[in-house]
Amino acid sequence: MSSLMKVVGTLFLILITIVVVTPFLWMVITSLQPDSAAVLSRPFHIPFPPSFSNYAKAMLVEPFGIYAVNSVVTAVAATFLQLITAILAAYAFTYLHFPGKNVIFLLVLAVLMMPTQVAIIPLYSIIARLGWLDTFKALIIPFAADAYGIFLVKQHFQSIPKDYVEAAKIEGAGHVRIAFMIMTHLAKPSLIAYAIMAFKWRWNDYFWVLIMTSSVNRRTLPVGIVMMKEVSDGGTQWHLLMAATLVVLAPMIIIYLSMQRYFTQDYLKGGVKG
Amino acid sequence: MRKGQLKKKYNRQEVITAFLFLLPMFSIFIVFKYVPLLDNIRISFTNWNLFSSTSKFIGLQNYINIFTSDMFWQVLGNTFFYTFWSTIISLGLGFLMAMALSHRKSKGANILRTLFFIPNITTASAVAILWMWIFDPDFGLSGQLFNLIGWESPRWLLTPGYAKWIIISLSVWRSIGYIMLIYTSGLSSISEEIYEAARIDGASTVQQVTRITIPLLAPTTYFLLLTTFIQAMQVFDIVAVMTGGGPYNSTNVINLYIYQTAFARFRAGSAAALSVILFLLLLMFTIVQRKVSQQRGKDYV
Amino acid sequence: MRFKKHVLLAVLLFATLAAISAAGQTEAPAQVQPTGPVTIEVWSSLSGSKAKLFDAQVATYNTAQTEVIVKVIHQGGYSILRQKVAAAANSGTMPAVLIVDYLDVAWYAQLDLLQPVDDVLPKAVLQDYYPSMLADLQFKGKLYGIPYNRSTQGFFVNNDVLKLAGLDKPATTWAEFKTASEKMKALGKDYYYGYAFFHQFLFDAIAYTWGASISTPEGTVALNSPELVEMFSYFQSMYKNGLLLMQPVLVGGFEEQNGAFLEGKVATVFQTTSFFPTAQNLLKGKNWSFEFVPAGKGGNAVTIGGGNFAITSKASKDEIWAAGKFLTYMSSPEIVAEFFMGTGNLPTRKAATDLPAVKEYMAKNPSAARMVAQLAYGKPAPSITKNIRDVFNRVNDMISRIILKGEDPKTVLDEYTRMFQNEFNEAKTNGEFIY
Repeated sequence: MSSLMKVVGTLFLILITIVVVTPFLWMVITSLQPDSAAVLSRPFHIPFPPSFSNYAKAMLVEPFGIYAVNSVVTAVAATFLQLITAILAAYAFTYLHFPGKNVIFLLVLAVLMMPTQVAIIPLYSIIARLGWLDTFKALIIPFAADAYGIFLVKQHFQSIPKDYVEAAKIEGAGHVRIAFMIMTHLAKPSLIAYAIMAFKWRWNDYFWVLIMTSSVNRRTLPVGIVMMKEVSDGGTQWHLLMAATLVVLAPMIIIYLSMQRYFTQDYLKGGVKG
Repeated sequence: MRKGQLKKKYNRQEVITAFLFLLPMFSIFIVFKYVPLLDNIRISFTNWNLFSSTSKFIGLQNYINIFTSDMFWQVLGNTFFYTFWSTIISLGLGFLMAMALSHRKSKGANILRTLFFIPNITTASAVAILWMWIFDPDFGLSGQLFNLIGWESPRWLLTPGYAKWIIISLSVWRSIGYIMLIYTSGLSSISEEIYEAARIDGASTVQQVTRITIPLLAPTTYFLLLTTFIQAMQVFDIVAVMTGGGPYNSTNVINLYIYQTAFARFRAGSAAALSVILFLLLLMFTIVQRKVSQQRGKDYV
Repeated sequence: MRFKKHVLLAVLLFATLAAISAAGQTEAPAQVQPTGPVTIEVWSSLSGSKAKLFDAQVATYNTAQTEVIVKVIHQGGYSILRQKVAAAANSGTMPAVLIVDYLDVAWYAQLDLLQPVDDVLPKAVLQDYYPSMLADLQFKGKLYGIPYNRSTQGFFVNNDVLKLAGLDKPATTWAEFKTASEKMKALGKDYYYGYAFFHQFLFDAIAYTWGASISTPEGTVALNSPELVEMFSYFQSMYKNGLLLMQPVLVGGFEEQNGAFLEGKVATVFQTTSFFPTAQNLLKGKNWSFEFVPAGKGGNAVTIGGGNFAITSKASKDEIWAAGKFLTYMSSPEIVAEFFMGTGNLPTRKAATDLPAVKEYMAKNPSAARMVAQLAYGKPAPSITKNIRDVFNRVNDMISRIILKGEDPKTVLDEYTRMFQNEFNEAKTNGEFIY
């Protein structure tokens, strides 16, 4: 690469870095402002000394404690259930012989083309008639199985040498045991990657939670933060709202930074949902 | 089945096990995927209003109303506008980012790669609120910057011409890390020798990129184009939070329109029809994606 | 002989029945009192100080007697309440009583979600309510709501600012409004006579004062009538010439939009009467007043929005009985007066307005008296408002496009007339139109 190209490349990277980082910086700076007056002033008021108390205050404007608990409970529960259904299904497709396997697998792939939003009205009707509106059930059960996850886990199971399974069978292990004990151990990395992906999808879900819940007690963080913005009569208190936004964004970012490779490893396998 | 091989006999035990293993998955799919998809079609032929337990069959009335309403075409146009531009810009920037970071193995480069991916994992609704504050024309980042140079910031989200682009900018910001990642993986599979040979032949850097890199990345590009496109068609969170479809429906996209039709206008039948239309559009693009990637000889899913 | 006996019995029976039904004309029919206390759930859309006052009134009721226990759930707002009602209708978990927005009462009645309340209160009481408040709560000849937190449009004036421009009284007609604006403008670029947070609720009233019908009860949309074209041209040119201050209509509270008025730069603002307590608090010491919406070709006019008690259709016999008792309490003049004087919502019945305490209050607060006096000009909501579920957003867009964006009034009005008329026609074909 010529040195000119290198310079252009570096400048470009600096530009992108600024673009990526600036929104976060602006959020943090605003969250440290002492009060609304400081936020709503021109020229820009530098928040010194920084008001870390905003974070505590922000958590009281809306019951973020409840929202956080709901987010954690629904995301963890759904992820756990997805792992189980995915392991069971992937095992069946990989190691069991049964009639119509290919057709059935096609049915699973077909689900990939049925995003939730496309059938939201009958889904609303079903959830309503089940009496599940505004309950945890509505936020967990419909997500207890995921076609993409099943596909991914199946791929990975298929890449494991069959010897292991043969050996276990000879030792007399039953299918369930093999599926959970052995496969989980051998396929750990991909299962962890899938679990993190599933967790992220549930954690960041806004649309479904918005439609299926209406009480404060069942809201999750993505909906809660929007409620905080909308219900602010007398002008938005940006310093508190930005503090709250940071708190909402932080968990996923921390998870990502500490378990990076599980995020990117999977993407390299080709394709992911948003 | 290979010729001459006896048809495999199924072990009854195994079949039952398989059934039980697949049962959890299928129960969920039947109740929450297959049935709703079909029921959606049924509802689209009625005038259900989300309340009553009864609804009347009205045939194609919903579809006729939709196709003859100006609003639908405006929403569809907005959706394609947003989808097209956010896809193209994301792909372009993501590609350049992958290029700029390729062949750089330094700690700094790795940090950047990690950093650039962060927007991708953020909660869309929360970042949408951040974006509203950034582009606040009075005291947000935009307001402050314009004030520094003595001008008044445009009222971004209140001006039909600009609001669309603000939303596209958020979408691009959230996608480029992922696109960069995919392109990086694609780039690493191009062997260095090809470039060597080109350099020996006297090709400049630009020529190397346009004649080698881009063509060899074509499968990746097709894959990204279509998956990003299909994703973007379904945007909801950022539009619902930032503009609610305004100003004057200039940012109203199809998913938001479906939501409004069902939950604000209580025309669930019509909303179901819109959903069917959206589903068919997505199906069409998915089929195109598969055809193209099959043609290219590589299956990316 | 036997035959005569039968006839006699029949006559007696008939006479008894007649007597019973005659008695029922003058008082609510006696219902069997359940054994033990009955709990009823009330879903409200109130928030803030109104919710608090309502809670207090309910608490007083709960402690004062033991037959009925009222449980209130504040859902947080009109749109959330609508969602919850939709959810409840689907899962069959409706509460006994709802506070329903005036726009939704007839619609819910059509959906069979409510039952008539004609027999819940004595006729004398029902007739005491201001007729303009009951107008929108009827469906197919029956009444489905009992007014509670109703509000209307108004014209808030800062008389100190008026004096600055040499005006000694606020405008009472649109012609005067224009000349006052011009006089005000002479003071400088920052001074405005009028400030319009011109949204759909205000639109209904203002359009009526210009003599427009907006849309007929039979279902003909008349948004592009000459009166409305005239009205919009008037406002559009006032805005273009900098005579009228107007903000884009956004989702948000009223407080945010009234900054300029509360700061004393603007002489008047169009608002709803729920702004009354805010004005009282923030304009203390200033010479402000509440005035009628200016009159035009159509004379004076207002519409009356707000919430109303309704009893749901699936409520049990016991719940209906309990709701009746509760609503008797809530409709008593003292309770109505307390709510009026505490929240700035309108008094809903004349007996409340006639109470000595209220008369005294109104004597001390001529603005409050004027607010009540304007009720004489109350008109029913136009059929558009009753039939288009998201009318708020769409009419706001229409207003913004014409006044703020400056699009040609006739063109935009034609567009919306076509659009709404199509929807009306469809509703009529499906038998869903609310007349």
